[in-house]
Amino acid sequence: MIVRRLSGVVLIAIVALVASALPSGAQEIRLAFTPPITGASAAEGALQIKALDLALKQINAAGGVNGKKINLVKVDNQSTNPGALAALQKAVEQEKALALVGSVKSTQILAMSDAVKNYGVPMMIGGTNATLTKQGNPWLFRVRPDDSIAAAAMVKYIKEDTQFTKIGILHDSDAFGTGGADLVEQGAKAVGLTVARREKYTTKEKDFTAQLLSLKNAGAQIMVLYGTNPEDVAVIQRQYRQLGSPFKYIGSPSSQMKDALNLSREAAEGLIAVADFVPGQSEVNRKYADDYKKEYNEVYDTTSAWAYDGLNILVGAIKKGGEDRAKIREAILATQGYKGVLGTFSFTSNGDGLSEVSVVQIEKGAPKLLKIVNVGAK
Amino acid sequence: MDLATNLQMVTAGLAMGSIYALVALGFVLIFNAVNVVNFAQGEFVMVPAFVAVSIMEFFEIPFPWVYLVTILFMGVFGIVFQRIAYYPLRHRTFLPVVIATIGVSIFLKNAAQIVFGAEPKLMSRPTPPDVLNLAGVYVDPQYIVTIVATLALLAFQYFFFEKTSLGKKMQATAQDKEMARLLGIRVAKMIAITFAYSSILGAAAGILVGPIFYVTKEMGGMLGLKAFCSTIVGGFGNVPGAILGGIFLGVVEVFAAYYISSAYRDAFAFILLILVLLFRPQGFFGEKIAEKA
Repeated sequence: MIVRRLSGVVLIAIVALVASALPSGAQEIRLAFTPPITGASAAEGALQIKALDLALKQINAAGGVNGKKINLVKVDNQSTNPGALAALQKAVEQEKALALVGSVKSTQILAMSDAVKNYGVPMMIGGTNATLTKQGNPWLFRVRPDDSIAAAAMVKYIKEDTQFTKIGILHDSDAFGTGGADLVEQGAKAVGLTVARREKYTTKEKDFTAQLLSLKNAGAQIMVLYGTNPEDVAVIQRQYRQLGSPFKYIGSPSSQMKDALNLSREAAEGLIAVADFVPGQSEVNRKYADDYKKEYNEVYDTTSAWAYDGLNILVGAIKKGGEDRAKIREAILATQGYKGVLGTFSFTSNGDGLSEVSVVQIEKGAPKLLKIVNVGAK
Repeated sequence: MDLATNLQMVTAGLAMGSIYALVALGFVLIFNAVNVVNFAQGEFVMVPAFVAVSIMEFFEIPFPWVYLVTILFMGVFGIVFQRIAYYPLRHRTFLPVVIATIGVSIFLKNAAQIVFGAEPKLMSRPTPPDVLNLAGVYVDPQYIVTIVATLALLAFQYFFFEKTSLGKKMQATAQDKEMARLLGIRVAKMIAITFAYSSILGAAAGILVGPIFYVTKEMGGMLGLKAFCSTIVGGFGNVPGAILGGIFLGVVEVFAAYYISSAYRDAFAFILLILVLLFRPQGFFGEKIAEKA
């Protein structure tokens, strides 16, 4: 009896040992993704997984990498910073992932950053905090336009596509709004625009009469709105109209988000804003929309499309560089002019893939592409 | 600065101030009746706003009916609120009741999120969406409606408390419950009516601001705090004080935001509060407080 039971245990142990030795075997390439599967961002995580699974399906259907299938392991980051770090460790140490698609949250990426550097493992990221790729970590590759690009693009658009020379800035007084407004102000001064007035507001404020009048009386010809919360932006758009649209309007991405447009409705018509990208702006983008629709029978989510581009760029780099992390890194940085869903990727030496955003005009409640503004490598 | 700008700000300030005044009045009526500060007063604005938006979403009925149903709902709501948060604790000190109102406030905010969702809602407006241009001053018709409706409510309230028997009984209850009881006034009933009326004032505020702001679960929070400031500035427990305090606060805020700093707009209300507490703790109209205490 005892012998039989023991032999069972031994058998299981042998099977387990053999199994654990197998995955590093030759027939597949193991990559990992660390989305939030549980916790506060679980809903976003589910959408990111959908985008990534679509990319994975297409890559493997097209033969994978040199005949090897991609095996993508999903490790839950629990929507928290410690969870993200633990997920990274599990992905690299237990799952033996060659490279990763990481997180969309800047704080989680910061939490993972040191470990990524120590492992020397390439990680595609969607966080937009501009400093992420400028802290000396050579293993982070961003596949979304960072926050500074929106500011630079607004300034460039005003300078090159309008006659205006005096701008007014209105911004949320939180870190995101203040940081954005600082970049706008510096950028505007650098190209010879005058900042007539700069005003701020606190999140959830309800009456913007004073700020808007102050910009008007300072002689601003166009207002740059750097808002964080779409709800505040909607109130501003309405009150801007109620004051007789005393100057032109260009807003950061919050100005064209659905949440804002659903509230401001007709007040937003004709306003100009910048957006990461506009659905349907390119052929790749339209194809993604079709494929997504076919696969899941729903319209794709714009905020998670980066994961699709991220995996495609990563796999493209593995095809070129082989299964060697340093070579993959070089291949990602050498990716220039790659046409993705979000735009045309040309990596900088910092690891920033996109230096363009779209300038849009609101038409019938939805953003419509005016032009794509490339602010060049920084 | 030019006249048009200043007039523009006066209009915005008066409209905001009217809303503060309505909510502040709700505070004062309940305070006078039962000696308790109702920290759910802000939610008395949020709930009817959501109720009105929902009615508009599901039934196509004219505005006056929407408003009437909302007001009736809030009347009942006030009585139920009183039954839950005040009545069982009426023989205790004021503190348990205050805590109970905070509890109800938190409950209502979270309940609103579950029932109505986290997304802000847009309330349709009875007034035309186009602004009026009055000699260079742009005025949202909804602002004018807000100011006029507040004045009308105040006139009604004056008539109600001074000229009707019910109003006088409520006043008597607020002034001295023991005496009122001896005179045969049904004190518990008067208190319930006071809560209902206070809640209806909230309904008026919710209906009026709904189209100007958006309807969110958080909309009552800052409104309640500002209204509370208004009552202190005007003189706590004083009815005309609460109204003038509210209007004063609304106007001061807009001007301070324009001339001093827009980032500290919300801070000005509280700076004013601290200054009043330091230098004139009884408020602008505070003489009566000594009488009441």
